[in-house]
Amino acid sequence: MAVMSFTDAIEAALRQAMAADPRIIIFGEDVHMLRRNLYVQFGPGRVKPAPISESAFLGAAVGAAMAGLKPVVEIMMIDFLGVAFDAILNQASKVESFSGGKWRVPMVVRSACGGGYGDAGQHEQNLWGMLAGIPGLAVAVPSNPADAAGLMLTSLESPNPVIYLEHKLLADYWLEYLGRGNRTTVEFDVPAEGAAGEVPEPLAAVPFGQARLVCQGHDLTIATLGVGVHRSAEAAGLLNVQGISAAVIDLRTVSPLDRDTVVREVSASGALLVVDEDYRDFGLSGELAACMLEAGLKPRFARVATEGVIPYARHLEDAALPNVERIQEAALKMLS
Amino acid sequence: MHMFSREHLAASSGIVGAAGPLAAGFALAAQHLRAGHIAVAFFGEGAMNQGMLMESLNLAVAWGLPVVFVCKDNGWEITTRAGWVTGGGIAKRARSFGMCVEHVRGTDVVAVWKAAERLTAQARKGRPAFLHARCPHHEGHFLGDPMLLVLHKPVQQLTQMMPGLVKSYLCHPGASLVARTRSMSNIVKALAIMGTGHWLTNQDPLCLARCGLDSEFLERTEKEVREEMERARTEALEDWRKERATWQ
Repeated sequence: MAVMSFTDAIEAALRQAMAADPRIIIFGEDVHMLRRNLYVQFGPGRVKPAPISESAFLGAAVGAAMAGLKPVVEIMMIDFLGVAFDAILNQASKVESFSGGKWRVPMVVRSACGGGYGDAGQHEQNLWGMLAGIPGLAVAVPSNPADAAGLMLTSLESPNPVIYLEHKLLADYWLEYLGRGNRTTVEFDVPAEGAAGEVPEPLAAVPFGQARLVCQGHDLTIATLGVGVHRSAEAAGLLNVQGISAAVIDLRTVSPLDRDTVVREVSASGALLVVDEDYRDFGLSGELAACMLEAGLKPRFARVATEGVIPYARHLEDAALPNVERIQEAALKMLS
Repeated sequence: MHMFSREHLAASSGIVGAAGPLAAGFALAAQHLRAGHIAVAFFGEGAMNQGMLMESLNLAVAWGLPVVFVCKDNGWEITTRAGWVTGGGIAKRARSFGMCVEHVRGTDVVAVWKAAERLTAQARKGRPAFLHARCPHHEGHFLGDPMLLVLHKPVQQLTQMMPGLVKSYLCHPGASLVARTRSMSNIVKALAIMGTGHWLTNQDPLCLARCGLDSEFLERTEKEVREEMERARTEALEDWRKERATWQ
């Protein structure tokens, strides 16, 4: 085991995979600075800074993947995917099916997501619900360094397109660049266990569609992912003091979704609380509710999610994103 | 970012290039609702590589929209040198759409004013226009711009950056030594170019002139200037409100 930051763990996974497979190339805006260590080790031919032309270089990633490369293409923030959505919605996700399974698109879209540092609704969205709803895409959302490395390894081995989302409260460089900006006067609620932690040596791949039980509990099951895992674990600790035993499940990938683990836990507890930093409506939380009904369960159900456009003002933003108080409140209300 | 005033028909976006299509729409609305008015889009040279902006230039010409596109070119696409990732020339590219294009030094206020006068007159006639203004790179793309951090706090930042870079330079396997050296020199070159630009910006003649004046005089003068500007702004807004009342 080695202790690594979330960012270093991703870099370690990329370094290992790029050394083993010369077909892996990285491109995106500013990657010569953002991925400077890989830029130096693997040279400007394999780590290529791109113009601010998302639709061109994301589309090019699809083409490159179809023609034999394994691109890791960086969309700086998942919000900016809007500029280039066709490449994902109509190209990458459709090729396998349209070719009768004969042609695949092994590419990783690496992108920052999430809020909590005052950047508002065009830079802090998560969108994993919307993306996971598109057949043909896998969507991975690691919550700690070991999963960050492990899910990146699996993404790089995947024969199909993967959206890999790194939360900005966990990725220290994003938080520094976009939030702190070298100021000592600002504070962010960074979950320490997510931003740095133990990573197995050698790195271990984390399979898609396998949720992790963060803590056990019999009164209530909390299903969550990303920074929500840490908020939920904190809330579970506080609920425990009040005599409520809550299990926390880290879903780790939205697509494929580990329905079995959630069904198993909820059939024992009889109550499901979904903590989802993505939008509440028409997304992951509703999907999980449907899964419960399809499995023949009728649990008590509640969700804590983002309910509108993410505000810029820090106090409003804090209230809009799922926080420990809201999780606790929802749990108590559901069980009362 | 995120600044809006419906009253002034002024909007902004955090998405690079988004001003292009929005301005085309503002211009279309002006054609229908506010004859004689024009739309103005402001963006950087990095946005000139966005498809939606290229499409907007074409749309504006195809529909004869009253719009002026203003490209503020500071040579940096976030932390990437514009020249590394831009084919051809910005002004040449705009000209190829068949629009009226002028090129000015962005810090020359009079030149900008005169060019804007000519271009807005063109736009009012339904001939979209393009102003390419060369500008200094005063600050980073965002507050924590990593390259500016290196320039402002070199010891602290380089202490953080160097171990990783050196390790990557020596780590095997990887690219050839030639390729690694090229990567390393590109990073150093980018920092040097940005550093030089900032050094030159700091040699602002206004700053130099201020050094020779006594502080009491400066304070008094600046107060007068601020009041004068505020007066002019209030009057301009008042005029604008009156004018606006006539077309509503």
